[in-house]
Amino acid sequence: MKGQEQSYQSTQPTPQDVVLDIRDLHIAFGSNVVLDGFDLQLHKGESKVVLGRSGSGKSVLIKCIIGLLKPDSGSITVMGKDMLAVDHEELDKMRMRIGFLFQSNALYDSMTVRENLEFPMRRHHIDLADQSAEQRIIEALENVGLEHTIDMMPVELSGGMKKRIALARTLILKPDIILYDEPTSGLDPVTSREIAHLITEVQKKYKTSSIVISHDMSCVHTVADKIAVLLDGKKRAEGTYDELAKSDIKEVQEFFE
Amino acid sequence: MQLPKSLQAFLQEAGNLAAFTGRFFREAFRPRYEWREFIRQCFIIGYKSLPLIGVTGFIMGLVLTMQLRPSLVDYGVEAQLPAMVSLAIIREIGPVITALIFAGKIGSSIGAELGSMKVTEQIDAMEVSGTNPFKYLVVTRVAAATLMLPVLVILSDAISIYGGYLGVNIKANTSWSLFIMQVFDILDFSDVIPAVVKTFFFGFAVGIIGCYKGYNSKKGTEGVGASANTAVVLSSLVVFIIDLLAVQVTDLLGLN
Repeated sequence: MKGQEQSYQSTQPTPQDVVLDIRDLHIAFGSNVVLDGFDLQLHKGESKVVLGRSGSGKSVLIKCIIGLLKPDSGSITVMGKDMLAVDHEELDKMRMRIGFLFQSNALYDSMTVRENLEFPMRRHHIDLADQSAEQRIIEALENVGLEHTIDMMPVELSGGMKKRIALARTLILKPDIILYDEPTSGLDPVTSREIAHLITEVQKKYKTSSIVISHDMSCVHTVADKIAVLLDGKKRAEGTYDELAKSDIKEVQEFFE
Repeated sequence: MQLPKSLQAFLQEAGNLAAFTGRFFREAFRPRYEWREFIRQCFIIGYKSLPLIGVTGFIMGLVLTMQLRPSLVDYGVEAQLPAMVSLAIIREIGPVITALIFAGKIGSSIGAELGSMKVTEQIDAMEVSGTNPFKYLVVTRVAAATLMLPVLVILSDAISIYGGYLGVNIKANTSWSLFIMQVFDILDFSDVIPAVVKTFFFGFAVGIIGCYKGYNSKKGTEGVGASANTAVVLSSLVVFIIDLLAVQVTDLLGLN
């Protein structure tokens, strides 16, 4: 069974629904092969979790999607665009449509919360009148319940608040797809649950599609429509939480124990 | 023939730094220009360093004068004190001491700031926000350091000379106009110009080494600390090496 993918397909989505299509992705760092023919499809409005052990290449995968890393071979198509063939300008435009929530939040320490949220708008040349830019910032902060932090510095915020602000910054460009890199790592169980619920709320409200990288099974259970299991650089299984919980692959089962 | 490991590591580091410097020049002259961030960096690197540079410059001038006086008195050339102090400050002590303080303050802060930005993925976040982080972070900081250090050195020299004036007046009674006349009498363009020109190179070295170390910081808090530390040590050493080369060049050009 090892090396073969186990798939559970309850409904057949149409190809037009596919917003992200990854085929036969390979990437290695020196002799360390991280992704070895990985395939993944994400459908419109779907929330897909990529489950895998630490160091299995989950973060590498989403960094390849956003263009922070260049794979050795394979293809990544996002909303019809071949991400590996686009020029720099086109890549920037695509990055406006793909939000990325970093594992370490990546809030700019030297800027206030307001400046952190303004930054992506300013850099992507979204020319909004001062008032509507401000409105957009307040709306994004309201979505994460932290409008009172607008003039605070990141250092004054708790871990959970930082995560929420980072999510607000991701939402400010109203992306079609959001990539979450370990959204609950380093948080206490209560805050983790809150963040997981926030992800599903955002998903519903903005009708975004998302890829969530995680090995926090409580978060996975809350956010996942489907789960893809990454093992040895390949997708070893895909299905809903309940389907995979009954998987006969030992390595997959271990996540659900 | 196998080179010793330490030599290999040194050559590797030198090669990486050269490639980083090459990238700086490629990126610096290609739009988009980050004027806003450049001005902000000039303010942080230049204006905010003023108090430290001012105080050290003043003390430097005062102490140098007080140390020189007894020797000059022994030789009966006490009247040459303003000339000697100003020459020493303008040609060597002002630029080098200011550059070393600048390396300690700015080199370490650039190394630590970029290092922590690197390990907390802020540099990646900039990239996905439609920003070229090299242009935004490195080009602006190196350009600001290159342009601000000469300005700081000129100000520090002026404050040092004033410190020297006070130093002269501790045991003598010299008017400001006489003192400053003696200073300008001895100083020549061939003293001032090479001294100022070399400070551009000092500033560039501090900026590029700080950015190189920070931008290539290793993961973890230890990595950030090491970046800040090696940025200061290396840039201080490079300041002396540039100084050594500068004195040779001015000598060859007959400006000494």
